[in-house]
Amino acid sequence: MQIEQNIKRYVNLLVEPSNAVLGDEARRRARLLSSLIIPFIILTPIGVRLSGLEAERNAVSVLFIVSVICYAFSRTRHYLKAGIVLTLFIYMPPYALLLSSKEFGVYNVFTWCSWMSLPILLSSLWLPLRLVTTIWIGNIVFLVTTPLHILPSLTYHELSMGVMQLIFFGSLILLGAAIRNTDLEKIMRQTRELKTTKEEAEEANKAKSMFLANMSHELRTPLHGILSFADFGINRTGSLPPARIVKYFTQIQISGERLLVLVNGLLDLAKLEAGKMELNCVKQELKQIITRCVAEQEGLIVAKRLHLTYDFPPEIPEIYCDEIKIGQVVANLLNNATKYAPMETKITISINSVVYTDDNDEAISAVQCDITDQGKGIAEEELDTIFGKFVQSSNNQYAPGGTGLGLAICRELVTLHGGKIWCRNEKFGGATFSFYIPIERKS
Amino acid sequence: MKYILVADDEPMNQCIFEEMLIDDYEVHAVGNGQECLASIQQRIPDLLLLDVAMPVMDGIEVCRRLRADDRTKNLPVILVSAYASERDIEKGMMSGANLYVSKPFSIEKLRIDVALLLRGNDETIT
Repeated sequence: MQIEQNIKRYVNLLVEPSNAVLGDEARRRARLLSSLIIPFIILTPIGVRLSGLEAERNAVSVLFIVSVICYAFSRTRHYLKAGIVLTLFIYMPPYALLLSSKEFGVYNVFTWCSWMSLPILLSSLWLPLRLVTTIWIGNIVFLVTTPLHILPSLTYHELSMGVMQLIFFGSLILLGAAIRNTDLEKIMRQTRELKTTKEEAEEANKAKSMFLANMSHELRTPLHGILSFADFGINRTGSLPPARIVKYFTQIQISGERLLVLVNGLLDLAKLEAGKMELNCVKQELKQIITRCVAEQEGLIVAKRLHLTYDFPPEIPEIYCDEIKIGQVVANLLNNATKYAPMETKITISINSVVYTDDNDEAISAVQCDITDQGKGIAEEELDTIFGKFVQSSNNQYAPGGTGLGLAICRELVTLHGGKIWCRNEKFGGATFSFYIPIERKS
Repeated sequence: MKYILVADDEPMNQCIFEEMLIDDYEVHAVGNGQECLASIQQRIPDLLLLDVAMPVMDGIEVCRRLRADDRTKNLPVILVSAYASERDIEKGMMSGANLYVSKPFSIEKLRIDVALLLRGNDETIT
């Protein structure tokens, strides 16, 4: 199967010149122009017959073969490589052959090589251009290396013709380059751009499907809880002790609350992504926000007997932020830390004054907050993805499940403030979640 | 009493399964795929209720491994998942599960399916 396909592809390459990168119009033109080489193939043997010198005849015969091969390759996509190889390794022997003959004028060599390259130059606009350039460089090499033993026998006329041809083909190359830039390059650039756009669109579409599938999963889980326990309740009310019934209702309530959190999170995220979240920014001390969040979560901290340590240096500047939104971020990070921390471990909250450089290489003063726990940490490969939607650390199998939206919302909120959020694992276990918020208002 | 193993990372789902089956069967619940395989190594259940999305090892992989093992290749497996698209179902069935049930499911229907699968397995054994 594979071999068959490869053969088909190869045949296609031979039939269709330089496909793929060329548009229809350019391909048609390339095919038309490449046929211009044919007259030269016909004319070359005549040249051989007319030529009086044996050395010249040999050289021209080789050139004839080369030009046929060049023509064949000019119909395929590979003729750039072929052309360069042919020029360097096959065009050179005739040079050598001619050089060995003292009777032979340098002008003839230039003529044959250069005129031979003209149809190749014209035959298409892009790849042969390089081929011609190679030939041209070959000519220069020839001119530079030959004078040692041929120069004394050259006439002024021959030498000047050689130089003129160099100039002539040099300008042809420039012309070709100009055509290439305006025409083929444009097509290729557009093709590239289209391809990128298409890939981006596909990526976005995939992300959307992923999001929908995940959202459906996340919604179904609490719904399933509600429906199942309601079902148990309906079918067993008469036969069960009240404690079991209370358990059912508790589960329904938990599931309902989970659903509510999820829906709220989704709404928040939708607002953030649509750029519709408005911030009520004032100058605030981050320390105060943190203290408030800790007070709110006192219950869980006490229940798990966690040791909370603060590292708040004095003289930390106030930051310009929306108190509620940043509070939400701190609460989320703190909640994660307390949720995933084992019993009786330490959680450290520290703030620092930092200076970071933004995308424009400008130094910006900010306040950074680090929350470190002694939990299981985060799998290395998840350090970046953990802030995505519906992504939950795979290390948290026993922890109470969240919605998988918390960190995504945190990232959006911090970004909205012009800050950055990230996480890393600590050497001796546990993870640190950090974010910074600029002191000054984001322009 | 028939022994049913439940593998689901969600404590609430484990609770639902237990509530649903505890009156008629012996039920044991585990929290992920690896624990599930370990538990099966120790005692082969009469039926396995398997969640798809689980940490460490997902249900599809568990199912595939069970089918590759001679001792468990006929074990009735019901995949239960909140992923409900046709592709998910196809993927689940391709792994060798006997049934794919998407959440939320009807308690009664799943009880009947469990009973049917258990009976069917008895017949193939005898």
